[in-house]
Amino acid sequence: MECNHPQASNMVAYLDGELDPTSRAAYAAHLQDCAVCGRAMQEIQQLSANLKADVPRYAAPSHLRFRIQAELDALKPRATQIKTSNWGWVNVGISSACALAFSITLMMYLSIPTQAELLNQELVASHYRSLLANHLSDVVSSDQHTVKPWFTGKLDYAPVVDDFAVDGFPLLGGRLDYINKRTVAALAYRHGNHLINVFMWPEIGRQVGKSAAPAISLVQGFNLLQWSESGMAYSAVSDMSSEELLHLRQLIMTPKR
Amino acid sequence: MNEKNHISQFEHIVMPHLDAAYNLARWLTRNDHDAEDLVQMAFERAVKFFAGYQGGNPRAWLLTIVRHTFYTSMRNGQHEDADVEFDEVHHHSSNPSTYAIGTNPEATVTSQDTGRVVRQALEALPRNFREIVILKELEELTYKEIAEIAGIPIGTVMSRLARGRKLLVNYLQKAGIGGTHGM
Repeated sequence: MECNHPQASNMVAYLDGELDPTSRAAYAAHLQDCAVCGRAMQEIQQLSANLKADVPRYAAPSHLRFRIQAELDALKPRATQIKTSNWGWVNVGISSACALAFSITLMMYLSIPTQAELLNQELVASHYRSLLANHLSDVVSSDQHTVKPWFTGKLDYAPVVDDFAVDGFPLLGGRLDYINKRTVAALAYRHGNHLINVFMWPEIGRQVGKSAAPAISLVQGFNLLQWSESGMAYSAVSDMSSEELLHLRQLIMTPKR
Repeated sequence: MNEKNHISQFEHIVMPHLDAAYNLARWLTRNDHDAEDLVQMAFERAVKFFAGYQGGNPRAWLLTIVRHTFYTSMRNGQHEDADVEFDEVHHHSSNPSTYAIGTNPEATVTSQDTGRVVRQALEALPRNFREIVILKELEELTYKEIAEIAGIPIGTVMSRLARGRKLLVNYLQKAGIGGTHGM
């Protein structure tokens, strides 16, 4: 049974609050007299309640979020990503003198990629050597309380050492390496059949305490994930996927306990 | 706008609506795998088109791209879908309860079955009604926003919404949900 009154077609818009006040009043008046419309409306209201209660609003799975974020990160130009943000803010509203200074600064930054490339080469070479020479660790232990003190006295800083076995990234051990003209800590992790080297060292010459967003690069078939936070620079090298590297980064940067 | 600002604006404005994009994609494709591919494709296009974003509801803007990407890829045969489009014009005067319903519809429905049956009803609803119902009931968008997303007049949004809801009510009544048996 259906209501044939010309007002009947306004029911949906009435329910969804899409009628102007005049049409709204007209429909409300019709509703008072029409049992058919009243019942139909109840059914639709019940339906809305059922849909809201029982139909999931699907959320994007986290690996999809990682993948899309990694694609966005890859679109950010490397050279500017390293440190323009601060300069950008300083320059806002300041006139041409600053603009000139800015362009000089930019020119200086343009020279960074070559240095960055050199560093990337060094990191990948070190990763490769560690696999080749079967020299992953100087101190073989999955216990962070064994590995961390081992570095004491060998480095002038304390590296972040945690085991993520429960998350699928067991710590294999730590070793010293020589990267970018200094001795750095290298931690070896395993994930499935993949080995990961995580290098970390304190930054010099950059604003300490500032952080750089993670950036992925592909060097000789290895994925290289680099970021910095609280004055420490981190580089993770592996043949595993960039999403998995981002996952490991999250684990490292999430304070334990 | 330089490249870096472009991307960070995109992260700021569009990324918060990733879940909404996935929800629509999941209900359009009806499986996780295709929904993920669709959302990734849609985001790649969204980044490209972002320069042309004029303000307005960013969620509606993103959903327009998701939906468009879906129909484009379906035309190119990337999504196999057995969904038969429901012809509004030809079925207009016929019995509104024409879409198939699961076996044993008259069986008593327990409360934990209700959710399953409601989801089934929505999954089985022809796509041109399903997408409008999702945008209204789950995303709670206005008719105007839905009309823009689907590229149809507001009048068509209303008629599809009315019809889609009616089909759902009939389906659920046959399954013993929604009370008021036998009108």
